[in-house]
Amino acid sequence: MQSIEILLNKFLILKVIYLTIDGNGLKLGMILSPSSHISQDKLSRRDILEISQEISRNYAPVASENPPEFTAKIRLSPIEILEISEEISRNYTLKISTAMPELVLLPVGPEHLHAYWNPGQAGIISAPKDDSHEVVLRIYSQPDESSTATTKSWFDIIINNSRTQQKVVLPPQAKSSAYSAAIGKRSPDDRLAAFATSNVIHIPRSSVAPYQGGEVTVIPEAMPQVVLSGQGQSHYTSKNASGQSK
Amino acid sequence: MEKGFLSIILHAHLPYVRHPEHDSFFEENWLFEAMTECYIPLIGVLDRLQQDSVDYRLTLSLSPPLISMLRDKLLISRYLKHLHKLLELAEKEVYRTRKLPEYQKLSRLYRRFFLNTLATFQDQYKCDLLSAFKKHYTAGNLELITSAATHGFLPLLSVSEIAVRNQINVGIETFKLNLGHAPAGFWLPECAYYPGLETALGEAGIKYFFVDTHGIMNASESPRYGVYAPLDCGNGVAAFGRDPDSSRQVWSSKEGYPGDFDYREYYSDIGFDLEFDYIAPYILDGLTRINTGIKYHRVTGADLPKEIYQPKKALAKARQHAQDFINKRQQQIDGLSANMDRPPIIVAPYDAELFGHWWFEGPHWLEHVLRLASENSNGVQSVSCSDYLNLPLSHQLATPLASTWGDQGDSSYWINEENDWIYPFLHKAEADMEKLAFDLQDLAVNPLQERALNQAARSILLAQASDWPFIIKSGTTAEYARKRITDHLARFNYLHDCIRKNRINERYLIALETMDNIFPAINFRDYNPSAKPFTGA
Repeated sequence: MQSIEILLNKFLILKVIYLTIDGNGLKLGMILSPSSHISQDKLSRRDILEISQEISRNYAPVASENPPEFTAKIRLSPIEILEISEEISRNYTLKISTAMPELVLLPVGPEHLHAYWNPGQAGIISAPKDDSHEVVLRIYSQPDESSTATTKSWFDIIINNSRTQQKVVLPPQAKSSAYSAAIGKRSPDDRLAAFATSNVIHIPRSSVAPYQGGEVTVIPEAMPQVVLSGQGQSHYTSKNASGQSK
Repeated sequence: MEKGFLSIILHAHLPYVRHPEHDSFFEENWLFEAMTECYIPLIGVLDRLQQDSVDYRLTLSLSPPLISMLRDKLLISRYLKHLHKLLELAEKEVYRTRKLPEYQKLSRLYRRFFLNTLATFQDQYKCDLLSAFKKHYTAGNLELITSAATHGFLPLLSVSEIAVRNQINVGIETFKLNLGHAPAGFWLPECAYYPGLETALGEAGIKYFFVDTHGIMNASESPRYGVYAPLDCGNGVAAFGRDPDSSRQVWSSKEGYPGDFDYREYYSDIGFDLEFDYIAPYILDGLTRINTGIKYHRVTGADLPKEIYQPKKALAKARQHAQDFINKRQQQIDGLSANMDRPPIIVAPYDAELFGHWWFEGPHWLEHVLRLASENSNGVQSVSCSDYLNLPLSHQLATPLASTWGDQGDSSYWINEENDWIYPFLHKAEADMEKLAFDLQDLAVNPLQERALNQAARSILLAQASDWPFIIKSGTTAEYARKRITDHLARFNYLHDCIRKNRINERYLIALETMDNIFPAINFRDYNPSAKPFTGA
C-alpha cells in the first residue's frame, strides 16, 4: 500500500489530505483537526451549536450491538440516586391525557369483561344535571361466524360521571364470544351519540367443562373415570406477597 | 403395569427486587430467602442425583428477572452479607439453646445448613447459581426454559401485540445471553393464555408452553386424551395441560402433602418468637420483626400448641409422600393407557419457591420422586416436554381456551377493583413508547439518546410485571407494589419527556440505569410498530 500525503496549506498544519492506493483502487481521505490559525469568532455560538447539533443528528453512530456499559463516568452515591428517583416520582405523577376520547375493552373471564375510558380533552362524560340524556356504556355482542343474525344485540350500563373504569358482567343469556362497546349519551329513544368506540375482544367461552373453582373433568367421558379430579384448589388460594405459594 | 411419563416442571420466578439506592432493602430478602431455602437446596438435589447416576428428567423455568438477579454483583454481595448474618444468628442460637437439648440439636442443624449453603454458593459454584443449573442441563438431566421478560400478564397487555412480543422476545434473549442456548419451552406468566399467543411464541422459536387444565379441556376441539397429551395449536407449537391430581396433592392447603403435621411449620420463626432485644440485630432495621428462616416447630395440628420439629421423622414422611405420589401416578397411567394409542404424559408444574421455602422438606420429596421414577420397577418415567415432543407422534390440532391458573381460572385476580387502575397507565405508556420508536425510525440518535430510549423501554417492561397487580390484590406489601408501578411509569414519563424535548440529563439517566439495570441488550427499536417482526432463535 502506498500513501501520499500532501500538505495543502502551511497554515493548516494538521489538515491533511491523503491518498491511499490499495487493492480496491485509489481512496481519498481527509483528516481535520482544529488549527490555532482559524479564528473562532467567525462563527457565533449559535452557529457552532447548530453545526454541532446537525452533525450529531446526521452522523451519530447507529446502535451498537454490544450491551451498554453501566460503568458510567459519573459516579452517584446511593443517596444521590435516591434523591433523583424521588424527584422523578414526585414530578411525574401518573396522569392520562389524550386529545381524543378512547374506550378500551379487556377480556377477563367467561362471564365478565372490563372497560376503561378516557374522556379526552373534550371532557365527554360531563352531561349537565338537567340533561335527560344519560351517559351509558353500550356493550355489543358480535355475531359469531356461524350465526345468521345480521344485527348486533346490545345492553347498556349507566355510567356514574366520576368513574372511568367498569367491570361488565355479561347477562346469563349472553352467548357470544366477541364483544365491542361504545360510550356516549343515550337519548330517550335509545339512540346512542357515541363519544368513543372500543376494540373488539374475545372472551373464553366454555364449551365442555366450565371452570368451577378448580373442579374440572380432565378426561373426556369416553375415557374411563379412573383419574377424575375431585375438588381442586385454585393455585393461588394461599399465595403470599412475594409471589410464592404454599 | 403400563408405561407412562411424568413431567415435573418447577417455575422459578421473583419480581425484580434490587435497590442500590438503599444500603439494604427488605424486599431483596425475597431473593435471599429463595436462594437459601429453594435454589441452593434444589442444586443439592441435582448434584446428589448426578453423583448417584440417577437417570431422571426435570424441567426448570427460570424467569428473566430471576436470571438477572442471580447474576447481579450487588445482589450477590448483599446475599453473602445476609448469609453471614444468618450464620452469626445460628451460632448465637447454638449458645442460647445450650440447656435445651432438643432445640440445640435443631440450632446446630441450622448452622450446618447455612454453612453448607455458603460452601455451595461461594466455593462450589463461585457465586453463580446459573452455572450450576447449566451444568445439569449439559449433563442432559435438566431442561431449562424461561418466561416473559418481567413476567408480564400477557392477556391484559394484548391490546398491543408489540407489548406481548417484547415481553416474549426480551425474555428469550435474556435467557440466551445468560444460559447460552435457546429455550424450547416457555412458561406463560400465571399460565395465562389467549388464542393467538401461540403465533408470537412460534415466531420466537418456542416449541411448547403450559396451560391450566380447563384451557385444554375446553379447547376448540374436544381433547381426545384429556390433559394427558399435548395439543398442537396449529402452528407446530404444543400446549401441555396441568394435571389437577398431581397438582392438588402438592398445592392443596387442606389435603396437600406440605400440611402434614410432621413437617416444619413455616409460621413459627424465631424472628417473631424470641425476645425483641435478642433478635433485634437480625430483623428489619432492628425494628420490625421478620422471618429469619430459623424455625423450631412442626405443623403439629390445628389449634394445638406447636411441638418441636423432628427432622428425621419429617424426612421419612417426605419419602413416604414421594412413594405415594409415584403410586398415584402409576394408577393414573394404568387407567389411561388402556384407552390411549400413545403413552400418557402427566404434567405437574409447581412454583419452585414452594420447595424449601414454604415446604421445607419439599426438595427431599422431589429428590425421592425422581429417584423412584428412575427405577425400572415403576411404570412412571420422568421426561421433559421436549422429550415427549421428540416421540414420533402427531398431535391433535386444537386451540386451547383462554385461561390462567389463578383464582376462577381467568384474569380476574390481575384485574379487579383493587388493581384495575394500573391498566390505562400501562397501555398509555406502551403506546407512547411505540409512537416514540416509530417517530425516530428514520433518524439517527446519538449514544445518549439511545441510552435514554433503551432505559424508557426497561421502565415499561418493569412496570408490566404481573407481580404488582397480584400483590395489590392479595393485600400484603401492597404499598410496595403500588410504588413500584408508579415509580417505573414515572421514570418512563420522565424519559419520554426528556427525549421528546431533547434535554437528556446524563446524571439523571445514570441514576435510572443504576437502579433499573436489567436487560443490558434491550433495543428500543423493537417497539417500532413498523419494524420487521422478530423472527426468533
